[in-house]
Amino acid sequence: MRAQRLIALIVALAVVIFGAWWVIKKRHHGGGDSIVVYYTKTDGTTEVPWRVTLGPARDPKSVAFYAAAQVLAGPSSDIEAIRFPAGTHVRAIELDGSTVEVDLSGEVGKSAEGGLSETAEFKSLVWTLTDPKTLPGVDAVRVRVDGTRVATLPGGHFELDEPLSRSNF
Amino acid sequence: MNHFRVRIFSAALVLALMASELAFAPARAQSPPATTFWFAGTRLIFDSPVALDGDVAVAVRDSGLQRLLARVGASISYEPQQRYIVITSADRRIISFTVGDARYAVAGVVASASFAPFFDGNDVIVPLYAIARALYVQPIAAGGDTVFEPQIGALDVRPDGRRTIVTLHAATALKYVKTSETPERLSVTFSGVGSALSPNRHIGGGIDDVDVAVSGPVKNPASTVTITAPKGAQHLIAVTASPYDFTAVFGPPGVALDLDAPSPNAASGVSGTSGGMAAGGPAAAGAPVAAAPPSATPPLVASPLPAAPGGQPPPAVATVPQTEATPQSGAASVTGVAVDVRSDGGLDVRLSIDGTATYDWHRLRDGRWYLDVADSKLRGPARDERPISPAVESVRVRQIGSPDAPVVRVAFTLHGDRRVDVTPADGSLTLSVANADDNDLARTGNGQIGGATVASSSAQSPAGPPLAPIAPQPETTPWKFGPPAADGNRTIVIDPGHGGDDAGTAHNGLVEKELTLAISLRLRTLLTQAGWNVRLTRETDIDPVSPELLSAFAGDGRPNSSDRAYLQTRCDVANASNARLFISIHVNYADATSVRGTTFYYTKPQDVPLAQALERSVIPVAGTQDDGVVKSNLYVTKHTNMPAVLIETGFISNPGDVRLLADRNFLQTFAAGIAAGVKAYAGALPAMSSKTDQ
Ligand SMILES: [Zn+2]
Repeated sequence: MRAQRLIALIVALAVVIFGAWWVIKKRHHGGGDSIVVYYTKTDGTTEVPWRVTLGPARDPKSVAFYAAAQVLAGPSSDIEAIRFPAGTHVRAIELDGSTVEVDLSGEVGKSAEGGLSETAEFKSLVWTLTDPKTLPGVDAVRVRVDGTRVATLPGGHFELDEPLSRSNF
Repeated sequence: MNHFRVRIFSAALVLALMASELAFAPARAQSPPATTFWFAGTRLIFDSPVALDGDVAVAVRDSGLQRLLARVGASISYEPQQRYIVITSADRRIISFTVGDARYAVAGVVASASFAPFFDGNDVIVPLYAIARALYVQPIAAGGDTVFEPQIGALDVRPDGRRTIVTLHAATALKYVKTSETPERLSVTFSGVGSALSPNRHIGGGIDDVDVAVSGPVKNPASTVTITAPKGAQHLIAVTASPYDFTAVFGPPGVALDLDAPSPNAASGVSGTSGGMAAGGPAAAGAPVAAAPPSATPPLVASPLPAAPGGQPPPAVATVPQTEATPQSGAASVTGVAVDVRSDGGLDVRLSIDGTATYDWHRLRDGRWYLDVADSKLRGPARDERPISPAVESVRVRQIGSPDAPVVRVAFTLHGDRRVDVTPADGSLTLSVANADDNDLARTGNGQIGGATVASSSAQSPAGPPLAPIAPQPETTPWKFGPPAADGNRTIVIDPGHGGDDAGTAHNGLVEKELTLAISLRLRTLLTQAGWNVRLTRETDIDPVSPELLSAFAGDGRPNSSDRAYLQTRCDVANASNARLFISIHVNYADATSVRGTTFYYTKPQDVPLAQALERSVIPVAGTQDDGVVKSNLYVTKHTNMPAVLIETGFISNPGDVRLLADRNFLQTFAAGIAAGVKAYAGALPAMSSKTDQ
């Protein structure tokens, strides 16, 4: 029957359109259902990757936010790692070309107690957000604290004035 | 169905599929829940809770949710225009929700909430009960109320060599009382928490079983946890990094149970504590509970620091203008110049003078001081010296003025506001620089050599110098005899980290700013003895800052201008004095008490050889763990123009390093290691007396 053939065609068409849309949406983000997040070992320099599962949102800003929030949380508590201070969270995130700007909450200032913590924490943040599979095209991270650009953390050692890239470590 | 309707239908189908993917707003009836919320004995008020599908919908910014999260030590990250809501629990589990998806993940394990988070204007609405449960808080209906009961939510049993570590994670800080205890069996009651753990579990291995019993009313529950180990075992309650955790270590006799300092005989088997106590807070993080009585801890008081002479370091050394002159006939001749460092560290310059001459001297505000002998010629070579004196950085004696009016000038660059006494005599003039500051420093004076000797000084307006004008020169104009080539440059800047209001890191009775100054002062002595012209960015307990930089950065639109000014001030001490090397001294800290050792941080490629030389010299004598030469983006190594290294000497958080840092001999040894590294890097310095300019 003509009507039935039409309906079948329509359904097939809809499936193809939706499938194409879904594939394109997924590919936008290098595909994967997971991203790689890095933490820094207690030697202060070694980056260790671990995988976290992404939720269904794959737009770059959501993925950048998710990745940054994962770095701040760090690996599970039984793993020895240099960690961002408890309570540090992402206040906002902006993508601007090849730079991602992360606004961290003020708790991060508690890590200004020595070169090791600051170096290790920002290294894990930069490595995570510049992983080419997570945010293709992003190679630099600019840090803000409580909404403002800073030269260093208060009493800190690590320079936050300029965007950071992997070559800073 | 015609073709037109078909197209509409297919477009609608696609849109419906896309919309269901995003599912921004569920279309369901919503009403406020008819209940009062409680948490740990206090009422919890939400701004606008809405009962929804068996859960309660609240906005992420709801003050009640924020309070609940704060009470359980969790933090939430959310920003409009992206779709994830990430909550981090006190025990670093990540709970992530996605807008439009009812599934959420707790530490990677996917669960399902009764509704998906959705946008509501600029906020996002989340399922309260799902969040609470993920944070080990159980919503319990009790009469007309809803009680959020904090619970012991997880039990970890982890073999660690021959010992077994048992850790409980709870929603709230754990307060406990030991209810019964034998070496192999520990029973502890936690007040204020319920439990989601199964009542009895057989573990095996180093632990036989763990029993959990909950008692008391819903609003004030108590949980008793009993851990039983095989016969003959012993145990130790460890202090945990998080107050939300409780950790007990079990093991056979003879096995060290102390997690931080594994010494074979440390464990006493039974913790000496009794009665209620907190399971440890961040301040006590990682310290062993029963490892050693307090009297056994090493003395951790910082050694008293030697009084540092001088105040703030002089600012940038600007140049003194010089007018070259051909010596011609004059009324007087300077026939000899003797430069001697006194045993007290001060300096004498003695000019031998033939004839009669007048002189005048001036003190500039930047540490320079000069004396002109009018109408006189210098017989002999000019002098440009950097004596080994803590009072004087440099001494220059040379001919200036014009052929008609030749002048011999003696110019000092002083370390601070050093007093200079000018003593004329028949046939000589002696300039004595004191190795001490003077509060009442005259800024100018004059006198006469030969004939009637009249010396006077005035603290008021300087008498106009009779000859060459002394306006501070722009920095672009180099010294006529100025900075020696790199291999002959003997200026080194040492930067004692922190100071003044910025104490740096402070733990275990030690304060970073004191240790960095103590090492730096010792280092200055050693380097000065080795022929270096040493400048410190601070000599006392101050945080040096240039007022010019403070105002400059305040006006440059960059936030946090003060921190920039403070660190830039330290860099500028080195940059402006054209120092050959810059070494910054710091003390490190890590949350993990096991982290220890010395790190040599650098930023610029030119820093690396210096960092390596320091590493090679310091580590063998200091005896600290070598944490290596590490690249980082540290401010002071980045913004200095010369090879620069920031040494993190040791960890104020590690018991072994603390023992070292509290020992004055170690500070001296460490300084000696640095001095040896500087020597290895720069080579033996040319002897001072052979150093002359022309
Ligand atoms: Zn420091």
